[in-house]
Amino acid sequence: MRPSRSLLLLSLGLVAVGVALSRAPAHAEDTPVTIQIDIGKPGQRAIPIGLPYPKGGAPQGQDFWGVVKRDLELTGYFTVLDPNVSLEPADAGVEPGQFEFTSWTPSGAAVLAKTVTATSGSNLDTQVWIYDVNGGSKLGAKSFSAPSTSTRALAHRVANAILFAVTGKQGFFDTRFAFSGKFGENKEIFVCDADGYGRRSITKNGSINLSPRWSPAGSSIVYTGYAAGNPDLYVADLAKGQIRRVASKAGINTGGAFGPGGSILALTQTVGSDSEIFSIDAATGREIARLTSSPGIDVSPSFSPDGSQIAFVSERSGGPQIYVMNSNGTGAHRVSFQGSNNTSPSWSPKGDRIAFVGRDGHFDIFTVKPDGSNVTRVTQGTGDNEDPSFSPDGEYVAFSSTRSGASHIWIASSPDGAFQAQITSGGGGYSNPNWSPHLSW
Amino acid sequence: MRLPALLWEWPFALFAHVFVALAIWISTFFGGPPEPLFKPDDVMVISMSGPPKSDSRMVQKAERAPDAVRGAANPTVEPPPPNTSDMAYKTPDAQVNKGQANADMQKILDDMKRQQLLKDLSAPLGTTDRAASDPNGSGDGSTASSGLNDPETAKWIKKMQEKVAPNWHPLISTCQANPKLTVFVLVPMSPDGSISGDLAIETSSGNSSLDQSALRAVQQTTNLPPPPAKFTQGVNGRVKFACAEVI
Repeated sequence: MRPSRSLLLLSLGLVAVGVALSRAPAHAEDTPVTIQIDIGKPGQRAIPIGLPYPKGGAPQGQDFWGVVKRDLELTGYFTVLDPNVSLEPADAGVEPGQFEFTSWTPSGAAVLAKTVTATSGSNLDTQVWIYDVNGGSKLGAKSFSAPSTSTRALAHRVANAILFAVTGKQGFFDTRFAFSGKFGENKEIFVCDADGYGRRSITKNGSINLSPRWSPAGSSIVYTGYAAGNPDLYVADLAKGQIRRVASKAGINTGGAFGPGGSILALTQTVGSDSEIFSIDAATGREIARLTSSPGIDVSPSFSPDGSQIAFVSERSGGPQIYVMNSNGTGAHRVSFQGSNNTSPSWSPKGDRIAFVGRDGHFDIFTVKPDGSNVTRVTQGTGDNEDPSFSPDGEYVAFSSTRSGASHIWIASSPDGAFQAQITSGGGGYSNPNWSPHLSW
Repeated sequence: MRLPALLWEWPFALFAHVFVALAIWISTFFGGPPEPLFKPDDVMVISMSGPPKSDSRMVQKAERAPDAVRGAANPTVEPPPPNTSDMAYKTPDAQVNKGQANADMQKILDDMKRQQLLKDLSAPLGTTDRAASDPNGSGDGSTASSGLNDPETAKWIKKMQEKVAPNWHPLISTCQANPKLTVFVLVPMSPDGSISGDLAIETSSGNSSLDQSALRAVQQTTNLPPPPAKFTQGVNGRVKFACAEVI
């Protein structure tokens, strides 16, 4: 009896084990484990773009290519591949069907921009064809024509077209910077293209000229000048080439900033021993309202994009801090709380952030939401960084920086400065950059 | 009259065998899915870490809930109460003072929490494919934190992310048009980190450009990190590329 029961139990055990084994994957012991890896964010590196030299044979082709290349790199979105990495034959065309995408895939190009520059009388005709290499499809095509002396302007338009086709974002190469540049012992107002080239003078008065600010339409620039021996406010009409003084009260008339409509200027003027913020008519200089009344300085007004509020610097709590008030002067409240010295507010055209300068050993750029929350550092440990000014789309902040020695104009991505690039080159001495709106000239 | 033991015990044993076998077999139809080949701990969902970007670098979508979570992980400084005008600025660097190892581990944990928050927030919006993140069907969506039990594997996953992500260049415009697009690439890997078989699109996004961008991201990544030594047979990397955070 006992042996039989043991046999029964053993048999049952064998059946159970057999069934269990039959259910278990036979290859459990020798099959690699599957592990999931989530790639949530794309590369921190910029998009590799193939940009072969232009077809068409225009003598400006190489210069044109160089401008487009630098523009694309200044956006932070692209790494331009060496044109020689392509495997395509010299006679490959620019239009769909005239080349093979496989000629570009080994190079790692994700996007391809093919261009044509051809002389047509006194004009330079350009085409750009933009392709998605991964998808093997056309993303867009554009053509531009301009006098052949406008090679750089044409290249800027092409760069904007490429950026828009790939990212859906409007580029900033139809904008300019106004800035104060050292000129011997003096400082004059200049403008330059968004890539730092094409510099031209706005003032040539052998004096000190500072703090230029564009009008909303980009047709004029307000600045502070000492040409008459006193810091007065001037407006330069760029189309007419005329400069007129709009504020010249005793004391200071500084920090002029246009309201969104362009008809009002906010500025700082002297009241007794204090500096206060006023609004004046931009055309006549007539005083409209006094906006601040507090002990200590109130300076550096910057309008919100809808014109309903003004960011400014005030010492009413002790040291200089950033405040926001309604554009009629009511409802002032502080928005910067870290650090003992915060100045130069600049309101983003998107309205979502205010850039400012904080002294933290060096001067550095920060951004903050208009309600005072979410302070974010843009620059750190790279010389002095001052005078922030947003791009028209609020995606970048321009500022002056001494990180490379002399003061130059730099840009950084907003809000955190993950991407930064130097705009101007040469001897430097450039300060107070102010970013224009999109321009048609 | 008692029958000899052999006369009844053997038929009974045979009947018992058949009964038990049938019972276990039938139970497979009612007892839910079979045990997964790998425990839930073997399937990990970890988001990309580190500062943006660029990502995405220069793109802000702070109005959207998932991005609000992402923003919360940015190195920002919230304002303290007023009357602290002599306070020094806090910087991201100032927060890292416990040693690199702890910092790395904390970063991984933060990333996991952030990813889970992202999933929880985006699930009602339908932007997260929970089934995709839990391919063995073992989960209730909670496997995102399972990597916490295995720091070595979590670190390896993070290294993989850091190696592959820089080579992924999807078209931003494609992802903007459809943030839900997701593609899975299968990457068979040897214990030394080399690719041991053919790369394959396991689940297509339906967009050939995005699929190819994912495939090329892996193809163009050199020197993949070796999996943890405990995976003696290598691993099958299931690399998920999601548009959601691209924009």
